[in-house]
Amino acid sequence: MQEAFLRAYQAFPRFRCTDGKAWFLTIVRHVCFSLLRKRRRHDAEEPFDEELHPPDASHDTEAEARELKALRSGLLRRALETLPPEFREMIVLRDLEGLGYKEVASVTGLPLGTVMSRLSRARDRLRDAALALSRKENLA
Amino acid sequence: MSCHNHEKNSPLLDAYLDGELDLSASLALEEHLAVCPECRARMESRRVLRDAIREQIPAWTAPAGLEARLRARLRAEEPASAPGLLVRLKTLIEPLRRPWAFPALGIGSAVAALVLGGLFLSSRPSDPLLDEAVADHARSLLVEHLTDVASTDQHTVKPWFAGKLDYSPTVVDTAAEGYPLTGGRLDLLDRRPVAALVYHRRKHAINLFVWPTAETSLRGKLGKKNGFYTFGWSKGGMNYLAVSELAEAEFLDFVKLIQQRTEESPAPQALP
Repeated sequence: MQEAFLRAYQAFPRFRCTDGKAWFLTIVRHVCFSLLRKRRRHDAEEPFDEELHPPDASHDTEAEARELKALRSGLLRRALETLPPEFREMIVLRDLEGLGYKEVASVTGLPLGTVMSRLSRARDRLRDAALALSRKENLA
Repeated sequence: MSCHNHEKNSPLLDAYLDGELDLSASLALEEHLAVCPECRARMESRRVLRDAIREQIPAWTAPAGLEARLRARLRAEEPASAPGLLVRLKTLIEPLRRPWAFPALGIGSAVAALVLGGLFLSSRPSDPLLDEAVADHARSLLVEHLTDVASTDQHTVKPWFAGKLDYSPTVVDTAAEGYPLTGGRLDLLDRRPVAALVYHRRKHAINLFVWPTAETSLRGKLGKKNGFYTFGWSKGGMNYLAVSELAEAEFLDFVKLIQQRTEESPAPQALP
């Protein structure tokens, strides 16, 4: 965060008349991802494999809704932290920071259609992760 | 909308809940929801999920001492009297003298609880009409719902609006000049349904909104928002507002062309 503010401050003379919040978040994102890359090089973290974690296909939507409403506090937040960064940022930018799809697209440099589908999948994944976590803790 | 695979509809439902679908896609979805209980249930569960995310995950707050550490680092890297600081102050202050440049100053309060008073100013809303037009344009690209009536023929596009609007927009064809008309769409702007004419330049879409100058009239002015250019003007009792991601020169070329051609064709009439 500190790094991001410094970069923003240093780059301020280049900043021209667009959306300040989106502009700043673009820098934050850039700094975060370069830190992540650095860390990954050290840990040689395994890349997320879509094949190993196929999205859960069938849902009993009503039961799920009840479960979601009754999640222990902080659980959703912990589930969010388990998502791969590409999905986590969708939730953070749209749902936590309240950016519009177009702004998310401009911050992440992704096409609008990708933002729409990835955000939706990010919410799916977050739901699956939260429910899995919740069931595990209830068993323990 | 197809209903074979409900899982696939999630992005559409999410976009609808987020208010990011354009008018006609929303209407189509609502029509479908009215007859499809499965999709209604799915929509409800998407709503619960989205609300849970927003309510249960608190916004991040800046760690204690961040501001102090930042100020210390800035002081270390750059003495307060350095010319760099002056330049930056100037950059901050200059837009204040030009009222149209207000949206420039972002950050501050808005960046969810990253409280750093004084370093930056918070953002101002820009012209709501232009914001709305840009959002309409972006939405029309989002769900590949650029056109309700796809036709390169102005004589097909113009009558299509009859019965849907209380006025008849002038539709000119600029294909010969490299900006072919590709269709029309009904959209919502300025608190009323308006005609959106869709033109293309290579792969880039241009939305041209046309509606009567009842309350708003536009002064010919180029604007830029989220990477889209806007140009609005009023002529013969009609407002014209063009939005596109085209490069500035081509965009202005298109605007000029439409201005010339709408002057040549008979003035649009309000229907009784």
